[in-house]
Amino acid sequence: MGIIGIFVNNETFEGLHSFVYETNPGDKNHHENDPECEFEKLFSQWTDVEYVSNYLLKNKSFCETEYFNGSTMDDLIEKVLSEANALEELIYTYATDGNNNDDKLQMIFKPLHNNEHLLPVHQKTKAKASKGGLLRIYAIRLGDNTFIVTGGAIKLTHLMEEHEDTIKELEKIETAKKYLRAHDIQFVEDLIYYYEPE
Amino acid sequence: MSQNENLKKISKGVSSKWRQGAEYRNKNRWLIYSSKIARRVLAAIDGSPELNQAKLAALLNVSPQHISKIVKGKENLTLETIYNLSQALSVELISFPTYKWNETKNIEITVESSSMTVILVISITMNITPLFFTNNISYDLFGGSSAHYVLNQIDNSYLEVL
Repeated sequence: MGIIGIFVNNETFEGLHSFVYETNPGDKNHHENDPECEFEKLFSQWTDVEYVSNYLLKNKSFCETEYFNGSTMDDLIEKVLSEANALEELIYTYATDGNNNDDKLQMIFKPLHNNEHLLPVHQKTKAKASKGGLLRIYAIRLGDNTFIVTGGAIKLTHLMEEHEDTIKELEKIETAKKYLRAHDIQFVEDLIYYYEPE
Repeated sequence: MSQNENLKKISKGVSSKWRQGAEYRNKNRWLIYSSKIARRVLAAIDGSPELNQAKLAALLNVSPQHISKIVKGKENLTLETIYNLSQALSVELISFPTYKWNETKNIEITVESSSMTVILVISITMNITPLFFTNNISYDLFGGSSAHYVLNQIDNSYLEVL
């Protein structure tokens, strides 16, 4: 397990980072000496028609609830693919132009729990393409312009606790927080020592 | 070198390949078409006892990797491949919308009789370029006798109801 940069200011280390989890040779997503981080993996999966179709077919019972208002399988596949496109474009635009404006990443990554008014250390956050969207990127906040992605999901239930995959994402966030505590990473500056130890 | 050391090595600066992937997806909007075809191929295979990706590859005489790329919606398909896929699956993968030479035109014709005025809307599909088709002569071509026939029918049923 480790952290890598997605788009990062080389001096301040502000920007978007991502966790990457160790894989073993033989694992489907194993890339020797070139690990795929959680953030990159999400967009590889969400833009892969076969992955999205299989995921929704596997979760057909969740897709047929009132929550989706009679949407067809094709409607949902289309929704995931177009949301992935919109979310990627949103983040790409920020990665490209954001530093030239006053925009901060916290405009994209919002508190995971709605109505959260306090700002705890290692705040859990989420990014989504639009209100009512299916896709979520989960991240831990280190600063208003610095987030570390822990994972993401195609969210098919109202509550994260209602689906095994989003439960797993909650567990990943907790594991990530433990990792940050163990490596004394609380603020953006701490990443400098993480990336470039003396 | 341990995986963790490896990670730290690549962590300096921007290291993820995501940006290149995002740029590629952003520039290559044909991927939208590819994904629509991929869905139809997957649906055709889904639940079929006779067909799977490996068999489809054999039928088309292409590698399984090629089929894998197609169903991921990441392949820039040639018309030849689309046609061959379509034949192998017995499924139409692309369709051709109406265009100006075969689109349907609605023509409104007002016909008056002693008891009522009827507005007829006649749909015409132009399978050839209707060079003769102008507003002035459309009534004569399509409205004339047939319009009066319809009007008579309406008149009769109207009277029956009364």
